[in-house]
Amino acid sequence: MILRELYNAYLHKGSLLSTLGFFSLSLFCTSFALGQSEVILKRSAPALIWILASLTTFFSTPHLLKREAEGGLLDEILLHPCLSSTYLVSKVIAEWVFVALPLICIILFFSPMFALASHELLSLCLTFLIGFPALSALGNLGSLLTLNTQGGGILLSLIILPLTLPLLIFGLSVMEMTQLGLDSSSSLSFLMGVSLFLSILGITIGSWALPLAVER
Amino acid sequence: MKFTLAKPRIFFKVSRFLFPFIIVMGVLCFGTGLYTALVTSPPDYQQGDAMRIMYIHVPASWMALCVYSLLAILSLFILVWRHPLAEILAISAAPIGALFTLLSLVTGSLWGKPMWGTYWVWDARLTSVLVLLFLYVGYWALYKAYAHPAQGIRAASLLALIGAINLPIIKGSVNWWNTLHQPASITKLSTPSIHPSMLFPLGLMTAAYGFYFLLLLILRARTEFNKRKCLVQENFS
Amino acid sequence: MLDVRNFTFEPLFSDLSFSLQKQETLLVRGANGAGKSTLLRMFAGLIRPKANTLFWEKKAVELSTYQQNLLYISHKLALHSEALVKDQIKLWQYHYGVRKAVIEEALELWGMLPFLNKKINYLSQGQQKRLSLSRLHWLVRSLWILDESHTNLDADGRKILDNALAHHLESDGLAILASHEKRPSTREICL
Repeated sequence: MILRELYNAYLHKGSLLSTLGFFSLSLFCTSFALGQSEVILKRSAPALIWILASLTTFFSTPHLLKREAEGGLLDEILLHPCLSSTYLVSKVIAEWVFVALPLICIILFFSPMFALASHELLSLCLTFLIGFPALSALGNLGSLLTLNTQGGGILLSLIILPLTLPLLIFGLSVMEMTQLGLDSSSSLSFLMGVSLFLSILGITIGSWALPLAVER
Repeated sequence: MKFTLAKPRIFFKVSRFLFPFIIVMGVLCFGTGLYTALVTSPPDYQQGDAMRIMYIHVPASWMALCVYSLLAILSLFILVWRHPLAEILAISAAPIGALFTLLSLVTGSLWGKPMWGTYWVWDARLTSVLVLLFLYVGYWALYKAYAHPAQGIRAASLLALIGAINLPIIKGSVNWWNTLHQPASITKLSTPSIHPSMLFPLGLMTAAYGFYFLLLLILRARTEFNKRKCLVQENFS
Repeated sequence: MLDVRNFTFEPLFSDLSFSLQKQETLLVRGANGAGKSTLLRMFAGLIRPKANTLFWEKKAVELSTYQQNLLYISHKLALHSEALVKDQIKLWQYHYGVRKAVIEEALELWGMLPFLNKKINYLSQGQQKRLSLSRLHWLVRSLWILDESHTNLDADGRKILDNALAHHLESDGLAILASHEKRPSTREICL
């Protein structure tokens, strides 16, 4: 199942390109709009990057699922003997590989714009990689819930963003600790716990939502 | 179809019987509550008369939370037993809960202006109530986005459920973040002990809000039920 | 083998009952929007039927095991539109655990083997249908549920499909078809 999802995600490299394009363009615009002041840039970089990255994830996840639903592939998944949660888990893994890692590359590429030091950059990437499974699981849940509506990414963000608030808070507190030069391990373990919990929650409820989404 | 309408019918019989009682109790509680809150209860020695807005604000926040928990329980009923009455009640309760949340936010910030000098501070409570409002809005938006209400209610119920599970974590993390950001200079809203002369009107007001909620719930549920009945009849003809 | 009791989906149909034995075909016929697809999705368990309405081999079905006996092909073809035909074969291998040679044999029968390096998007409707229907040959299931499978196929393709159906029935299979056209000498439900 994981192989299938990885392969499937690989097939949609075209839409991946536009996702990455959207992310880098929005990063560029915000950093440009914030002006030249290094202090402000440095202060706001983690928050901006986190929010833009989660928005990008929420705009990109529904695409793949919608494609699959339209083609009748979700029926095939449901008829398969393995659990629908397995499908969601493999989807999260595939997204981690094919969305999170490229996003990290873009963050690294754009980091000079935000005047981030290397250890700050490292912890930013780390928090994002840890938080991403929860983002992706909740994003997939949201796309399943909005599958039969016209809302798309905007409705998805509206219903899912409030739920990801803990991730944002702990991710950013890790960053803050690092920027202040303090020990960030407690926040980091909080982040891990929250991310794990939200992933499990998203996948469990998502596996309930899958048959409901396919019923029509 | 007859069967699915049978269960709500009992509810409506009972509610019709209780309806006058609820109106009378609601009016009584509101009257006495407002009188005791605004006239007879003593003003706070620090905040003066401005704190009387508490009698509007605090019950609203309580009700906002209560209605959300009710929504979560109803959602469970909808998902597991596909209970038609639970669907009707959930749809009816959600906007009322959202309004309570909004009322709580507005009165909170009106209260905040004389107390803290601004309408909005990033206090943990304010923030989590705001998140609660977003959850309500998301619920309603998701329900409305579906062409088929029967599908919409199930999707929205899943959302309400995950929101309810997530709410304590959001609350906890907001609290934690708040202590990180701001020193505890802000006076917390909860005083350790409330004088009975204040507790009494507060209790009355809460009861009044509760009856008001029940009243609206019954009215809205009745409307929703009739709407569905019309829809079924249209389908059959 | 397959017994259906009191299937109901308001307002499309209610209290629908029948039983289907080995080597039998059932045709679900009806105008557009009569509920053919809905009914077929209920047979496949994709719309969850109420408890004790669907029986397989005299037992009330447990969906995930029951679904291993059936092959459901709807008008949505369940193809990865972005993939090349050979990528699709690979995805099928992952999904169903079938050997590549078996799939390619079926594709040859359906005349799709020359298109291995073509994107599925670029194939014509009929070719996509053929690709999707090749499942009939490489996946061994006893109950076929085919939704409008004859549409979009040319005479040649219909012949292959009919041959496959005949062979399937001979080897103790069951089939449920949906169509708006009549078929000679088959039982039918008219919605």
